[in-house]
Amino acid sequence: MTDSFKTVLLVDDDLTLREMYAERFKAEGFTVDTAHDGEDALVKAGQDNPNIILLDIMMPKINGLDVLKKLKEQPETKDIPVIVLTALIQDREREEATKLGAVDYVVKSETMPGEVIEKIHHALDDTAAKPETPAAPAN
Amino acid sequence: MTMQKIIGAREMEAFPLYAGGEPFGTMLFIYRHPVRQRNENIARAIADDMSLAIQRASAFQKLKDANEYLAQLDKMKDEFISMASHELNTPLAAIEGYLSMVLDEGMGKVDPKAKEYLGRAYESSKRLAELILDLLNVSRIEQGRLKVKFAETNLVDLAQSVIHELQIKADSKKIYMKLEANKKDVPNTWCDTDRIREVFVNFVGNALKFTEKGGVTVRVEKVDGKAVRGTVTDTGRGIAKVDQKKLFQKFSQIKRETDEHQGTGLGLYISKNFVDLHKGRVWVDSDEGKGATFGFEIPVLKAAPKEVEGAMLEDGAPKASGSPAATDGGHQVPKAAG
Repeated sequence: MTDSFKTVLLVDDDLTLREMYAERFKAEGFTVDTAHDGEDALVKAGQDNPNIILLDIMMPKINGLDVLKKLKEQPETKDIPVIVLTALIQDREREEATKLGAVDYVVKSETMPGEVIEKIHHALDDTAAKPETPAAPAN
Repeated sequence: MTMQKIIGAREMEAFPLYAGGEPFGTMLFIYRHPVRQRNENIARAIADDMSLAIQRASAFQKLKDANEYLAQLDKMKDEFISMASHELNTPLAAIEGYLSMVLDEGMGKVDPKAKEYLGRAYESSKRLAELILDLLNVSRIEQGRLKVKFAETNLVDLAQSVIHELQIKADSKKIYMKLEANKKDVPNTWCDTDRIREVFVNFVGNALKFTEKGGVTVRVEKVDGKAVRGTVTDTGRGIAKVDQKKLFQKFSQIKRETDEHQGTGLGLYISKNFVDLHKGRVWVDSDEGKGATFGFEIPVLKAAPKEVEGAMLEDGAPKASGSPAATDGGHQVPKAAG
């Protein structure tokens, strides 16, 4: 897999789910970095320079949608693809996340870890296919 | 009296203010000049009018408070549904996730017997997920808190995509599934695309479930230029006339001799409600042993309606930009850190 050795930042406040996804992603050859809330996620996204972020929505401190907004505002994190991985099935969140720049919106109970892996590869391929994002116009 | 001195009052008159026969205050008339001719009736009339005005203002305030309280309660209900969905789905995601990791053998070979048992556990957790979704929908429907969003839709495309999604189920049962529709003849209509899609998924899903031989035919057509109709016909065992009336009620699962077909019994009830929101109708036509046809009809709309009775209409246009958290607090409810 060409995506091996790439780093996934997994953001989820649920320990069981965090361990589950982490184990599956590692088996796929990814390096897994985890964050347990929105604040932690913002720090780690800035420091560890992950190749992709999997982001939960309902989290303590800062919710995922606010994290996503901040990630897209900061120049050092704005190009990292973000897949929202949530238990929320409402269309409202899906729309909001898409509008804020998430590349995918995945509902946990509908999407098995194996399928999440496929979505990660897909998102990484898409990002790789695009030439370096031109610098955003100054303003 | 000191006050008298301060305000320079020469004469004073006091009248009681009444509410419901009970005095609740006094109205004081202060005269800085001697009164030549006192008219007690006018003063009393003013005091009475004042009583009434104060009562009204206080009743209005109470009503306002009650309304605010109700609005708050409504929002809490919304948040509760949202939280319940999240809290129920999170452990379920772990159950399904771990089971699928074992079952897809991505982490290593599994003993066939263990695989069979875990497969059943996985199927059960899938049913639980479906039930949660259905209960949530029913709770929203009954509280009139279903959010609907209208968009221009072609029912032929919609039916096509549902067939595509469910094709795998038909293939596994070795039955056919086909669409009979002429896209040119079916006008686009404004509807809640996701909800109408759910109706198709429900009808087609049921048809597949109860058909062992033959197959399922989906038809989409125009009805006298004013409505569009979707029907799903199967070659299954059919439904007795006495049972047909109960079908669209809540938790109506007709007991069958071989009861391997589990479901929540909410699908058709939800479908009917979704169609009702479009001011349409649903029906079933069947003879026992001769298959069944489930149909719905919705009026053709050229634009989104101004309001939808029994639901909350969401604007299809993008929301004004701003902090997404500020739009509502629904997903900001703090929860214990895991």
